[in-house]
Amino acid sequence: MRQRYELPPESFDELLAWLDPDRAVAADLYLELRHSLVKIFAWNRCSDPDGMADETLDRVAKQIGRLKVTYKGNPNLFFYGVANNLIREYQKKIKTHVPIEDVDLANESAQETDVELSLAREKCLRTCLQELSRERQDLVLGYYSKEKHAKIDHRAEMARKLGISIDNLRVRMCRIRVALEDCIEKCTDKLTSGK
Amino acid sequence: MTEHLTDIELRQFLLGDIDEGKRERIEKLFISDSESKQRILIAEEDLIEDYLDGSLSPTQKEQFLAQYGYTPQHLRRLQITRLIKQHAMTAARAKVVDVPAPQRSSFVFRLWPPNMRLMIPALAVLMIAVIVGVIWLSRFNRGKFEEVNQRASIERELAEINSTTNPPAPPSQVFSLVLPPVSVRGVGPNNEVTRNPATSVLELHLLWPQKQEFSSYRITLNRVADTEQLTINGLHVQDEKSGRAVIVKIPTHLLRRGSYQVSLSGVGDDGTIGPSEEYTFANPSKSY
Repeated sequence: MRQRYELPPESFDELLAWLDPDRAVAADLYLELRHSLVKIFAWNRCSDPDGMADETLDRVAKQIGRLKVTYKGNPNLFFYGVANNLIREYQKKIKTHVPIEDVDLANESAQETDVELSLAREKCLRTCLQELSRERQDLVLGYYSKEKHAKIDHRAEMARKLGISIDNLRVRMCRIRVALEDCIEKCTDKLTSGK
Repeated sequence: MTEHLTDIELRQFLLGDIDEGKRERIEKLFISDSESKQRILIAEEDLIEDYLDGSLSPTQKEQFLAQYGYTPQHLRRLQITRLIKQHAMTAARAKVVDVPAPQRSSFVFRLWPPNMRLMIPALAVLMIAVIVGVIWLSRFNRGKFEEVNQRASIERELAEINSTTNPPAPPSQVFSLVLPPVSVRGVGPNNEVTRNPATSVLELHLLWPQKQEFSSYRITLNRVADTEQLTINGLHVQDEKSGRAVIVKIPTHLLRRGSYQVSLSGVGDDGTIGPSEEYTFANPSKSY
């Protein structure tokens, strides 16, 4: 795990220790927490969810000495409180300074419709699928092979064959998809930044 | 900590159609309770799939685009899900039928005892032949598979860019060309695609002079002197300033230098193809 450069090393270590005494477990929790924060900022239509997640972690890290002593409860909820304040600050700023219609959507679209980026993602999808076990590859390809109404019957049939409930199948797929998406993003970043 | 979250509540949350208090409650569950987090992620996956399948109501679609067409994270998520689905559907279509395992022939059985010494070299030869055969078959199938896959990938990209659910490209990236049919054109207007590094999509406005209405339209596109032909189905005619026209979008990276022919036909409800109109345009640039 890469340490964030804005934080002094001791604050970062203390932050990890606050999440869990076992450093390896804490590192996983940190990454999961950051991922959750990014999603929350994105749902609130914040223009830079990654940057705001880092800002949340920075703000909490600055108070870590005090928090370790005084805060009781799930640390994630404290992070959420800070994130929610940032969301409010952001929304206030947007309302005060930038009408929502003026946000440059074209730039985001241009970035995302870039043909080379799409091709890189397609290549990465194939690479990342190959990194999965044969069983998982079949599961992903089978799960997404049908559309609309046909997919409902098809997925029920898949669950029946696997001897699990449809809900369990969805949970299993959700985990695989999150990992696959993460792999594709990392691979695409590597391919496009290497140019 | 697990609290009950209804599917309706989750969908409203994901579409940004929820009050402040409920939003905070759901977000707190998302960040602090792994079971709720999983449920929310699955609900999000369902929503994205419903959008990609075209199953959302017009209002929901509008809310979805306002929410998921905004941040790079969401756009990326949308693209990756679309990519996985398309890949899975293409793979399902192109799945090569398994070659049945060769059955033991009666010849082999005839060689079995009484003479084992003859059996061993015979088996070795047989195994080599089977291995060579399998390698050849797999290479042949892989070559065919890749060819089918590449073509399917291009047609998929064309279908996707022409789909009504696909968000339009920014105007700065689009080069539009209005083309009358060859049969009604006198001294032809400039049908050349102008090179511009920012252009990523060529938008052809194919004027449709026929009175007859069809439920959909299809085009075939080919470069003059090339045998390969690409087909785009499910297009629709619309009224424009220059007349009734069918709009076709082509990613410019698929175009090579040369002249192109386009054939546009109406497709009836029963799948019958009506009379076609022909169009031409030229791409003088070596590449985009």
